[in-house]
Amino acid sequence: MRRIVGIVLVLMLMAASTAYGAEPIVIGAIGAITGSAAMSGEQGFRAITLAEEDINAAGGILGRPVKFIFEDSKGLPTGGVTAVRKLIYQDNVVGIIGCHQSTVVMAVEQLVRQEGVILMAKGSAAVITEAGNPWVVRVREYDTLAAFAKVKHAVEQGYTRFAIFHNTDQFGEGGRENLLEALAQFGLEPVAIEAHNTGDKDFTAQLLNIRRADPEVLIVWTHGDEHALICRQVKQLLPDVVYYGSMGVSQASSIQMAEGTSEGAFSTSPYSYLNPDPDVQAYVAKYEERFGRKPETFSVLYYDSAMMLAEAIRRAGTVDDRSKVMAELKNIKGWKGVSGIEYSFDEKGEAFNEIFIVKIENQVPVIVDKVTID
Amino acid sequence: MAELAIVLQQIVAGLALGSIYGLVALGYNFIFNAVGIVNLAQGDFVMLGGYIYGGTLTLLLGLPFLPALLLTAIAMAIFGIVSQRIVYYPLRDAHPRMVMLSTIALGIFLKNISLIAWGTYPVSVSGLFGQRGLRIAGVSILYQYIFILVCVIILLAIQQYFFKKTTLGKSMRAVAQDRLAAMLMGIDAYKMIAITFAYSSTLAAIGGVLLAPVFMVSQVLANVGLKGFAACVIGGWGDITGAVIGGLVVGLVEVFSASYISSVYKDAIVFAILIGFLIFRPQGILGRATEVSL
Repeated sequence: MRRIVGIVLVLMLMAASTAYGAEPIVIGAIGAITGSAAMSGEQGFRAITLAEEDINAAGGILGRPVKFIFEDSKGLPTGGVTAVRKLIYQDNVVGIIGCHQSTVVMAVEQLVRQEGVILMAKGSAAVITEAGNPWVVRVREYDTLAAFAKVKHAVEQGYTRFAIFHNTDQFGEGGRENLLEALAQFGLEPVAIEAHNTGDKDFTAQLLNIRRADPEVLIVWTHGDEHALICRQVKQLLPDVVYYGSMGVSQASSIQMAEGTSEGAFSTSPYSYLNPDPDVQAYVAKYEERFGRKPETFSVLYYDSAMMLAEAIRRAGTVDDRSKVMAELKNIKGWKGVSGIEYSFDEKGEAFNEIFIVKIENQVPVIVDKVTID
Repeated sequence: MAELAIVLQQIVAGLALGSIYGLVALGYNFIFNAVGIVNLAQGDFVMLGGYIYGGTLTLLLGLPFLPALLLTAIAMAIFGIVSQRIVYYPLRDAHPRMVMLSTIALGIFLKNISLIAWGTYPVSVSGLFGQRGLRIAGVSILYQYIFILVCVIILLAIQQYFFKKTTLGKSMRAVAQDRLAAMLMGIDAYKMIAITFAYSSTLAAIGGVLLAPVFMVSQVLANVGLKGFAACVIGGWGDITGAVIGGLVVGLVEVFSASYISSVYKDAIVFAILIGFLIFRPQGILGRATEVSL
């Protein structure tokens, strides 16, 4: 029944958009719809679907309907470049929302710089905004912020023996560097550093090496589904360690996949669906009703990005002058998103300056603290 | 003491992983023996088995373990027969390379179809034991790992009996050894080949069912196919015991190289050993020195 209502609504929307009689404004988005990161891409895709409906239901932008085109990066840098080329040269988009993978963002960064197309990156590697690309902004907590917040929180609990376990992709390697810097700020060095590849399933060897070093805290820097498996194996091999995971560990899907073994783990997150904030809760209800799952981080970040880009186009009053749209985007300050964060773009293009510390308690990520940087 | 516990822990993990690789290697070997091709979709069969068991029978229909296992095995046996009809039978007189290419296509098809059918989220099932395990003197062993080892041993025993003692098993071996001669003796060779595919798919299904609670089911699960392939080469193509030994070697090498050499290059190390075997001992540890042209 819900599906029928959905189809009718879509048809009505389509009818409504034809009624505008105006050429739609085309906005691009990319994410992994296939491949090993498809879970994250799908969140983005769903969020973009909702954003398109919401913007059009509210009358579109500048009196024109908006059309989002979501392209599959396949979770690969090459796939991302193909997708972005298509969006730029064939669809002539104003801007592109995504990708959620740092590796893909870095692969397409030159292309958007050359063509002057806005890229609202969701990769968290520090290097994304350090490249000084005027066409790239980031709507996601970045790794320097996340690393600092985790270390600060753990140090405040009195821990001094840290081990690092990271993915070998750009996200994980960058995370290790950021953690080392953050630890150094507190005069600390890790007692062990281990790594794994994306798609690995068994982590016994690395976790046993870490066990030899006898750490108090294990900071794991990787993606959601690997987190779930690592939590399971940590429970077996390092039952007493305090676990700090990257954002992925506190996603509802990872918690469920970890089958209870992520209980008590800490994480930094730009979002928790338990945030009592009414804006967050309204979005959670709408998303869950539509897709049967709670929104996760990329489900809110893609949505917020779409809404902010729409606002920037409104303020600029044009889509043809992309640099004007970009300037208006960077002028957005204190914009409240459905993530619960207030976004303010800075000179570098970062939208975040605060992040939540969450702890998994009774199988849900509870916000226990908030770390802000200047 | 602490060090001993760590080494024992490594051995346990290596054996458990290795017995799964051995199971996958057995699947390769049966088809290889029967028709002289390598079914490069074997890993995808494991994935499919895992999805049918975890995604459909357990999570969607809520079946308990044993009925779910049986139904998965039956579904995969039928799937094996159907897929041999599509990817092998029409090409039975072509060069084995052609058939292997068509199995690659089947693998790609299965990965994509499973995305559509079961979605992008890894399917997580608890199996019989969930995340529970034993803890003895600092060594913790998941019950699922013990269960995997026991299942593989039982399967091997059944298999030995089946192929040595039953008429069907003997007929299958006859077809594997010399198809023409077997046909002259009145054995329906193509029926035997279909049964071989069914059996090897069933082995893959069991692999998927056993692995699902440990690794979850996702596209990545199909990668066990590569490790199973390495196990075949190391153990010796066509040799049943060799496949299991090869699997255990791959599992142990993987865990120990990750511990003492490099966790990042552990797969590279396994494949380097694979290449070493291909160059210096292509017949594997137990294999007979035969000419195989692929």
